[in-house]
Amino acid sequence: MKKLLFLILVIFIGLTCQPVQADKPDVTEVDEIQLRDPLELERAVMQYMLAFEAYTTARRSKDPKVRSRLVKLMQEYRNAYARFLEMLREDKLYRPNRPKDPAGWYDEKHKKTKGYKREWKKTDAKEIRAEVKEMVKNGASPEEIKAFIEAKLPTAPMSADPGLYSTTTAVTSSSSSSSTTSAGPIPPPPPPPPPVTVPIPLPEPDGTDAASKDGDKEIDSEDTDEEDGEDGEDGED
Amino acid sequence: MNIRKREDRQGIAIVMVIGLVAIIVPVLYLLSQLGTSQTKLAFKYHENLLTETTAFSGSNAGVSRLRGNLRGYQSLSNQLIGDEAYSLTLRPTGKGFFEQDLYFMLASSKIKNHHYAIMAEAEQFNPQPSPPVLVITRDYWNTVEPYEIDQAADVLSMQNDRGVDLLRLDETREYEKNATPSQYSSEMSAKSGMLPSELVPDWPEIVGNLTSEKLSM
Repeated sequence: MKKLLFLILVIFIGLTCQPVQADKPDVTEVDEIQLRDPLELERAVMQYMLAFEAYTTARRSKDPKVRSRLVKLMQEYRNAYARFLEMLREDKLYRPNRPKDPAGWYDEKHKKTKGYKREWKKTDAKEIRAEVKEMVKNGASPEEIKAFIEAKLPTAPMSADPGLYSTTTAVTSSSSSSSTTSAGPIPPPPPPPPPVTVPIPLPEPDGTDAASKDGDKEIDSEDTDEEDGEDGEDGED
Repeated sequence: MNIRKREDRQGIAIVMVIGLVAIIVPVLYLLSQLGTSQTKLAFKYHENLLTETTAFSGSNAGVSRLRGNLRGYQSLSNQLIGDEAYSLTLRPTGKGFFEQDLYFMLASSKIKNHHYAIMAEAEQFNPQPSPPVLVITRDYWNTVEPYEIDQAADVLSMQNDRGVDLLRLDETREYEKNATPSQYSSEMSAKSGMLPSELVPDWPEIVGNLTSEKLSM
């Protein structure tokens, strides 16, 4: 009996002492999530990260001229973070009473719609932060710092969609338009290339190999084009 | 005759001594009680302040650990700072869009009957190539409720309590964002009547600073 009680006590302590893990969103919550262009999110994070660097550098400074700009720099950071938070709120990636896991929640939806997660870029923009720090120390105005930060924001997505890459490699011999439209789930097994359709012109003896290599190159360039396209969208925003 | 007189004097002296003792002792007791209550109050304030500052030290220690590239769940209890002790818990909650780790940073301190717990969010970026790591902390929230910060149930309660306050903060941010500087300034100035009299002379300057820091997206 004592052993049983001890066992129950141990289990109870174990249950109560478990660290809180990030709450996964419910099914309905996943449905509500909006998948925004990742570039917009990355730009927003980069902006508040760099604005924070500028603000903390000014706060640590002993130069009265630099410190006089503290309020404005803090305002820039607050604005930048508020903009990011607003995006999360609009996309249903944030609930105040739940632990924050925006990339995790984004991936849940991404997985549901496309079947796989997005590959986020691991970075802390150390070099750009060092430049911002230097600017603040050299007495740059908050407007100049803001303009510099905006100029340094990414113009192409830093993260990657692994599905785009894998499908393009799988469809190397088919037409290029299919690779862009089939950005859906990874798994569809690549159908064996129909041997009949290829040899119609046959200008070269080893045309299949050459064609596949060219295909790879074309698709690579398409990927970059796509990214450029996204940049364009962001630019419009 | 002489003996009788002497006895009378002794009797009077005894009555006087007893009378004095009967008056003085309660007075002394009363005074000592008054002094004790003042002292008790002073000690109470001192302990309150000490509990808060100790918890803040714990919170700063948490930031230092994150900046030093210590990652993942961390739970430290009975960490001494001077004669007082704090507890610190760093709970990973998820990931950001640059693969940065997001945490709940919880620090608490307890001195006698006084409790103080701080809860904040922290973002720990990934070092390239080495520490110190960029750490951003925000939305500090505190409570005097006796929560145990290393127990899931208590943290959940704190999370919910803080969530309610964050909703209010969201409303405040919305108001701040949508109000024009003059509207914001005049509405804040109008609140000076609600302040303690000591703060009133400084309020216009504070309002000026708040207006210049106002969200303006």
